[in-house]
Amino acid sequence: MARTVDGRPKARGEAEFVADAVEQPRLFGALLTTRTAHCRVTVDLDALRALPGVVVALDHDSVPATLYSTNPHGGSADTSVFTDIGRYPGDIVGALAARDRRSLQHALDQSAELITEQPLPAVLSLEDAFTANAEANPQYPGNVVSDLRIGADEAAAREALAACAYQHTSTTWFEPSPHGCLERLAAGAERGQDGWRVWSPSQCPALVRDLLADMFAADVRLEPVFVGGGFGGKEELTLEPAAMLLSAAAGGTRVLLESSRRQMTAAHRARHGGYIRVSTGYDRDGIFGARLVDVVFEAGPYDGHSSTVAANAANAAARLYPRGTVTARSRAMATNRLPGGAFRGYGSIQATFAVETHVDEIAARLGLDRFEIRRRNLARAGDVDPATGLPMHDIDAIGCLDQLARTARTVIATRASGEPSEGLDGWGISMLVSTSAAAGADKPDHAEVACRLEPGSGTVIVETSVAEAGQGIYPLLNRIAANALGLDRDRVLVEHDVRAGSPNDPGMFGSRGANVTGSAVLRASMALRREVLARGARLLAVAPDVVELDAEWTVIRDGQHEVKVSELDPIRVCAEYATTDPGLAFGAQLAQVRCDPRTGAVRVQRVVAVHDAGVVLDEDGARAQVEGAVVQGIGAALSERATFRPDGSIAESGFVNHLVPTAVGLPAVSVSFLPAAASTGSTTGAKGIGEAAIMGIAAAIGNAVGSALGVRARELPITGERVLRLLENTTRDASRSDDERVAAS
Amino acid sequence: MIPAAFAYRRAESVAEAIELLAEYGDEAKLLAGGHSLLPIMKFRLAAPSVVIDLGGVGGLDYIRADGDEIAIGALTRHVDLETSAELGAAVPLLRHAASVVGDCQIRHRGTIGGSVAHGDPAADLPSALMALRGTVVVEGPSGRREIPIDDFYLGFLETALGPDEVLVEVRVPRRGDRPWGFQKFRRRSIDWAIVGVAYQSEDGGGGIGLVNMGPTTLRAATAEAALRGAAAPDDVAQLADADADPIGDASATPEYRRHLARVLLARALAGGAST
Repeated sequence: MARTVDGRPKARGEAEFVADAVEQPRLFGALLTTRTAHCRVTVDLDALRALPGVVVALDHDSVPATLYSTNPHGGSADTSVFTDIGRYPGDIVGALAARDRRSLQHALDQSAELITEQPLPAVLSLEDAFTANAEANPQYPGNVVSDLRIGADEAAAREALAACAYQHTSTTWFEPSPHGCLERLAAGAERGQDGWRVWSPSQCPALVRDLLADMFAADVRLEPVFVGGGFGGKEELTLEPAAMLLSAAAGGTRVLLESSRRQMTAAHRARHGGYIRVSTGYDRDGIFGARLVDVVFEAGPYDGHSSTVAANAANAAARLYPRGTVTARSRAMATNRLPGGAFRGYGSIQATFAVETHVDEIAARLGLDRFEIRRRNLARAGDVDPATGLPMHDIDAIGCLDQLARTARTVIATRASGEPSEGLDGWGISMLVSTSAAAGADKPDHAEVACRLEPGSGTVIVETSVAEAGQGIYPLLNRIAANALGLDRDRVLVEHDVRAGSPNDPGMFGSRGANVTGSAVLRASMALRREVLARGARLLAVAPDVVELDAEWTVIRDGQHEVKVSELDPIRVCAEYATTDPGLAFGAQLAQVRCDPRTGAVRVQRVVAVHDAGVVLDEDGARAQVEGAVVQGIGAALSERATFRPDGSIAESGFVNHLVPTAVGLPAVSVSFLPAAASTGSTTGAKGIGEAAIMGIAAAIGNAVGSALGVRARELPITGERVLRLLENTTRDASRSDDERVAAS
Repeated sequence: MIPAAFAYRRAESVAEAIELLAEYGDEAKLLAGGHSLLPIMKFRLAAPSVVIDLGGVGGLDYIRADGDEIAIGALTRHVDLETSAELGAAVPLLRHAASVVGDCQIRHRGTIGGSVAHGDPAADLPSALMALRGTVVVEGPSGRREIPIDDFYLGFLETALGPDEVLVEVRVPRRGDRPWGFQKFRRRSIDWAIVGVAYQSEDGGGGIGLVNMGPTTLRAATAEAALRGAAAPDDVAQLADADADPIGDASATPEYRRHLARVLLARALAGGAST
């Protein structure tokens, strides 16, 4: 069965990830990294090269002088493949390759003493960044990486806020958190006569291919691999150029460069830490008249995705309740600590937590029902999207909320069973808004795909440069193509093709798969079917509209004569789809929790998720996306974080202390989709679900904790220790302490 | 995640294991279920040059009555403790503690001897032995000796086991249907305890063992003294951390650990058994 294109090889351990796919013999490479936050670095390459088994050792001197952005979608060029100034603990200063893993490990054990670090003044907190006594990276004066605004003019918004009968301001804080992908980052490279072969686990392989071709001024072919979890963490271009430099220095020899689990946990990229301040002016009915949002995220020393993640957080925070005068500012600030990066939700987990806990606080002040206050303020079709200035269309936020209210009625009424048997129960809800394309008016999202018929076997192959990362894109594309072609699903194969000139699809991000890539596949499939009929008609010397294809795709007939499909020449058609519509997708989520007021422990008992997924192409797949996102959302809400030590390094080292939820103890998850959802107007009509589904979980849990214990959690993750501190100090209940008129602040 | 190089030897008997230990001295580590040793070797927190596998040693997996005590062979796996009706009737605290070790896979591989000898303060079973006032039986070139659990733990991952000795048996007194409690607080299911408390009632008082409240498994001696003085349970619980010096790490501050110990002891004294 083609139903689970990747399921069988993964379950049997046959799926090839980068570290499997780079063929033997190969050299084994590792990164050389810094320990201090900000330092000038020298690497004793001669000593490293003299170690047994070491073939290549490189540092900053081996790197082209030009800087690049690790964000393959384009960001500030501020990064060197190997830097001579370490700008955060774990920054990449070089790499080495050895004949075998043991020699490599031995060399790494020695390397700490062969890398000399002269400390420079470091920016070790957001506070440091704002006071700007030191500069994290001279490319960002005042440590400002970005400072962007959307919506109304800020002065007008403040005026509108002051004119409202009531004001409320709240600030929420976020600790960063690494991705926790099972597959560590790795890259392989080999230089042959016809150019480079590169193995990359990138979520954006086609973009990486083109960027590497530019960087190395050579043809680059990416080999097909599975990706062992991405979540945005594999949207950064870091290891590939390093692997190519190692290979080049070893005369083009094949090299496998791997990161360590510690590097993936403490030194790669993280969901952004920082804070979001929200101010709302409202009347006695709870109608919002003005909203101001201020997003401040810690970028680390490089931009990467940080400016766009912060901007996206502002978009999400503004979009949920766009009525009245709304403005949002987003800043990414440079520090000498773990860089923030793309992470499923792209700033929206934080934004949703900030806005939705804030809305609950207003509801509590007014004594309003939590569903009702949202119903009165949510975005409706025709409202102006503060992010784009265009009217929102084909949205149904209130439909999601109402469906949640209906579904959740019994959940709210009953006490969940299970452990712990004692404790205080509560429930909370959150709205969310996501997108279905990485698109804007000035930047269309665009996908190409090819479909080819192999007449001999009667198989149709969908060629895409999107990789399967466990998100289920291949089964989805398989289903879209099979339905459009009228073929059984096991006659359709999805093939990962990232050779130069292959159909260009930028990859997996922005919840764009079902909408953008899917629409290109649908178009290519329909075009292939038309082309098969046209070829048959030509051979029968009749018009295409009089021939038909049998259900099994074995013969093409015109009523009298027939042509066997197996006798056709191979056919390959390409199609593309482009859109400037972000495809807004709303959702509503509820969490029921049990809290232990003595230990502060929070256990999620049940989650209910309602999503507007547009046309649901594959209900099982969409449901699986939501269930996975709920688990990851619980991690974000309760346990996952990177804890900074005073020197800027990270305390967590791997899955022992980076607490990704485990299969044991997960809550029941009930998922539903809006039955008569409006389509995005794209070819498939599908909306994005992969990121939507994670956005409201932490906020719903935060609000549930609020209802159970009467204290407002204002910081993620909501650890037991934090809950306990809130309970011990209820006088600091933030929903009361912020009760000042905002205009005065 | 690759251990340092080591030689592998497989012992077929306790005597052979002792001979091998005599040969390699403290360069060697004994391997039982491997669920503590192998991870720390992979993290390179341990780098023994020789690993002596006890997997081939027969006759050390048993749970049997011996007078007023239950004797448990060192290679008895957690799952066998967890499912033993005899242990459940005689020492329900120990059976329960075994049932909350790690996850199902770990309980099918890990052994009581391995868990006790490893000396990790985060391990569950040693706290139960502490509450039960159990005894560790070790065998070396000069024969067997018994070590009270109070004398067994010397420091972090450090025990009174000599370099040429093998832990062969664990002995605990029968407690029958006397009250007991076991509380384990985790930030995430199946993890090690952030803090754990084992309590076993006994004549005129009770035993209290603490998990992860210091460099070794600890006895809450001050709280036990209050128990003997017939203090009210809530007052006893307030003394749970009096003998402890917990560390702060990414999981919890020392203050939070102290607070948890007090809350968990109150629950354990009330007979609570957490899962």
